[in-house]
Amino acid sequence: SPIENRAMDSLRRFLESYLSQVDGLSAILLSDRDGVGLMSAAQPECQWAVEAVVKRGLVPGFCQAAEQAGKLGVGPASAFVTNYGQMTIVLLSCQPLVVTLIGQPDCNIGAMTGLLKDRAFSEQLRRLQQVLPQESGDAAGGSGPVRV
Amino acid sequence: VAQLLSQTNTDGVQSSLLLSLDGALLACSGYTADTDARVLAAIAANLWDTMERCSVNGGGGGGNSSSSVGGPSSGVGAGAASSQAPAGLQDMTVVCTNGSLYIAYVSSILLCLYANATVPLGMLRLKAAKLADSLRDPISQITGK
Repeated sequence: SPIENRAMDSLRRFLESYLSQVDGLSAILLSDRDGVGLMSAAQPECQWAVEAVVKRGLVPGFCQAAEQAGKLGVGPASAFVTNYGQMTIVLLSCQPLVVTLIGQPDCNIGAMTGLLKDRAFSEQLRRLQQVLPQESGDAAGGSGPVRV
Repeated sequence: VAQLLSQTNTDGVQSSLLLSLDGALLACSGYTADTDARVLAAIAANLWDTMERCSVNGGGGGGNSSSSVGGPSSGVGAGAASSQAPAGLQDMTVVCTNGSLYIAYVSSILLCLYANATVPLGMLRLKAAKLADSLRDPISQITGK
């Protein structure tokens, strides 16, 4: 419906606003824990990275690895920062969502991992979290702010 | 090697390990029990392997080689994970509620630093980078890679 389309466009523009605010941030992907994308925003030249993340199953891999990391005995894993050479990818666990931030190799990792502390961003996530079904028995991560 | 690793175990960095890509512990510092170090090495290798398989610009060299997207392929086919240099994942940081884990690829083996919640991620990465610089040449001479 037109109202839904406007809401989706509004959310996309909201995410796109962060691409210019965070140094080196190229794309943002919101998905569920199975990697199914809800919304994404990307620089035009980096759309391929979002598609690659989805195709390679990075989000389900992150959730699986985060569950393993919970066995370290230092609490649940809330974020991964991965350096793949050509790009840096930060994955934030916001159960039942996963926020994937794709950046240049020299991006501002601190700003990316601290995005959940941004009031407007966390508020948008909270609204999405409320409409998505919560998953039970999930050991990976929590909805709190990422520790930096 | 243990002495060199121990130099980073200050100000919240609790332990440092060297491990093979398949999780075998090679050297460690900061652990009083061998079993704890071996468990951490196994978990770290598992985390590395999981994220490396999902590499978005190549990789997959640690095991099942699947087609890469948008970047150079890792090239060499499947085989023993410990003999291949991953083309994708270079390093990763795992941020947990009460601690962090940093894993980096150094000359065909993995360097792992384990820190408590007081250590800023930037400091953890910097310590690991300096340690990796010190270890790279000696490890290359041993492994021949």
